[in-house]
Amino acid sequence: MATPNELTLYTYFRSSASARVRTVMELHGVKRTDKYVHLLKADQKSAEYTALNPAQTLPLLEIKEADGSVWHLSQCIAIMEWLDETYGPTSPTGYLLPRDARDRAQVRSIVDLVVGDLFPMLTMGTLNKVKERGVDAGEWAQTCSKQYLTGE
Amino acid sequence: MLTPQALEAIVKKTSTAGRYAYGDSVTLADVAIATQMGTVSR
Repeated sequence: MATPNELTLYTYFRSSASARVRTVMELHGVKRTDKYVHLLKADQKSAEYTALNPAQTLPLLEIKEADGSVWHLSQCIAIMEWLDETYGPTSPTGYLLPRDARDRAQVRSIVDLVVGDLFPMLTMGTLNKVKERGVDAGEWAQTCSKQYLTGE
Repeated sequence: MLTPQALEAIVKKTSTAGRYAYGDSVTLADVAIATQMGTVSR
C-alpha cells in the first residue's frame, strides 16, 4: 500500500477523540500538519469546516495522496485503524491492532467500551447538558466511569 | 473521570503482565484508556 504524501489533522486540545488520533500518529512516527478547530468558539460549525466534515465533529484527517488527490476521514476509531493499517507495517512500534483475530477482537472490545460506551457520557456537550439540569458533572462522570468499567 | 480504580480493574481483567491494557505490547486499547485518563486532570 502506498503511503500518502501529506496528512493534515483537524484537531483541538480539549478533544479526547483528537488526542487518541494524535497518540497513534506519534506512536507510528507519522508526520502531520495540525489545523486547530476551536470547539468552545464553535469553529466546528463554520461553513468552511462543515464543507469538509458535515458532521461538524473532531477529529478529521485530510489525506493527500501521492497522485495529488485529497480525501477526508472522520471518526477517531476509523482514523486510528486506517493509520494502523497504513503505517503499522513500517512502524517501530508495530501494529496497534494485533494480527491474531481473537486478540484483535479483544482489543477492539476494550476500545469500544471506552470510546463507544463511556466516552459519549463524558463529552463536553454531554457534561454541559448535565450541568444545565442541575446535576454535578464531576459526580456524573465518576458514576459513569465506575458503572461502565467495574460494573458498580 | 476514568478513576484509577476503574483502570486497574480493566487492566487486571485483560493484561497478562499488568503493564498494558491487553497482552504484552501497546495496542489501541492503551490509546483509548490513556486518553480517557487524561480527562481526569480537567
